Order: sequence, then structure tokens, then C-alpha cells
Amino acid sequence: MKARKVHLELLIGKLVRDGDGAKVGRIRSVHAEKVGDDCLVQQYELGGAALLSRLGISALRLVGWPLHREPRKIPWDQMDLSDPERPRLKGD
Amino acid sequence: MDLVRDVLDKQLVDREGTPLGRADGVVLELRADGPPRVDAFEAGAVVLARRLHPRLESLVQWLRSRFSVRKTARYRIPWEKVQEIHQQHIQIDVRAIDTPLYDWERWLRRKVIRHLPGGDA
Repeated sequence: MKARKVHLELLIGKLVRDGDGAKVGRIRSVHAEKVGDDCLVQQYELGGAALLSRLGISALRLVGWPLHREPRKIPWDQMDLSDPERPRLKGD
Repeated sequence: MDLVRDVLDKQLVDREGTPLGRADGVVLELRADGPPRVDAFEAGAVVLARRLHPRLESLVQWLRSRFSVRKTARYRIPWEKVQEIHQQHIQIDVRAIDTPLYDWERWLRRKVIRHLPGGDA
């Protein structure tokens, strides 16, 4: 079966929904790891906190408020990218 | 490694450190039996335009076909050619002069620079 190709730069910002259609968050970052000769995706980060984290800004530094929210991290095997325009979470 | 922060839009250089352009796109291969893998980087104005809007991609594609000397709309660099990912740039195992990314430089050298005094040196 021919492997599908998707463009990372077009995934960024796409809204991810769960199996019930509820909004989960937007893809902000994709983490990968070198494994042997390959570079493999490990997880996706969703949400505004992920964007701030990518920019090196924390909510604390931005507004001086002791809020701390971790970006939502989705393991690669829980993300369904069969339709790259409408990524969905697998399972529940 | 964060592919968005550390790879996308990062400066590409060849094996001698000559700038090649930027990684305007990253192609992921979705596999049935494992995690997605980075398949290739893409460079080119058309790739960049696509990120903004599909119609802009079409316009840039048309402009390129009419006025550009570059033979290809997008230059794809397989992951296997990546030598090292540094903080400021990504080193690729190619020679810049051998890639389509240098088509404009070759054209300028042939059509403009060689006609200038000392240009054929």
C-alpha cells in the first residue's frame, strides 16, 4: 500500500476534533525524534499554550499571572491524518 | 526536536556552507505500521505561497512558468540528504551549484555578469 504524504506546514493551525466532533485544539507543534536513519514523529502539541511554548513565552511572563497550562500533547498513534484538512483524534 | 520551531523555515546550506534557501515545507510520510516519518524538505516560492493561500500558489506558479529561469517549481530534498540540523541552519549533502536553487545565479552569470568588465574572469 502506497504511503500517504502530508505537508507539515499545511497541518499547522488545523483544528483537531475528537471522535464526537468536539473541538480539541489547533496543531501548533510537532515533535520528532531521530531513530536510526529516520526522523519519526512522536507527538503533536495542540492549543494556545503550545503556541506560546513554541515562541518561548509562558503565560506567567506574558501577563505576570501565576497560571501554568501545559499544551495538550497527542501521541502520534492517536492522531488520524487520513484527511489532513480535518485531523481527528482516534478512539474516544 | 520541534519540527516547526527547529526545521521549518530554517536556513539550508550545502556541504560547503553555501546558503541554499530555506526549508519552506516539510513532507511527512504517513505509514500504516509506525509513526509518521520526515520524508523530505521542500524549498521554493511556490511552496511558500501555498502556505498562505492555494490561489496564491497558483499565481506564483503561473508567474514562475512565465518569467522564471528556474526549471522546477519546488526543490525537494530527501531526508537522507540531511547531514546535520544546527541551531541556525540545516546542512544538506549537496553542492549548491548543482541544484535548481542556483538556476537564477547561473542565468545571471551567463546573461549579465560575463558582459561586465572583468565578468568573464
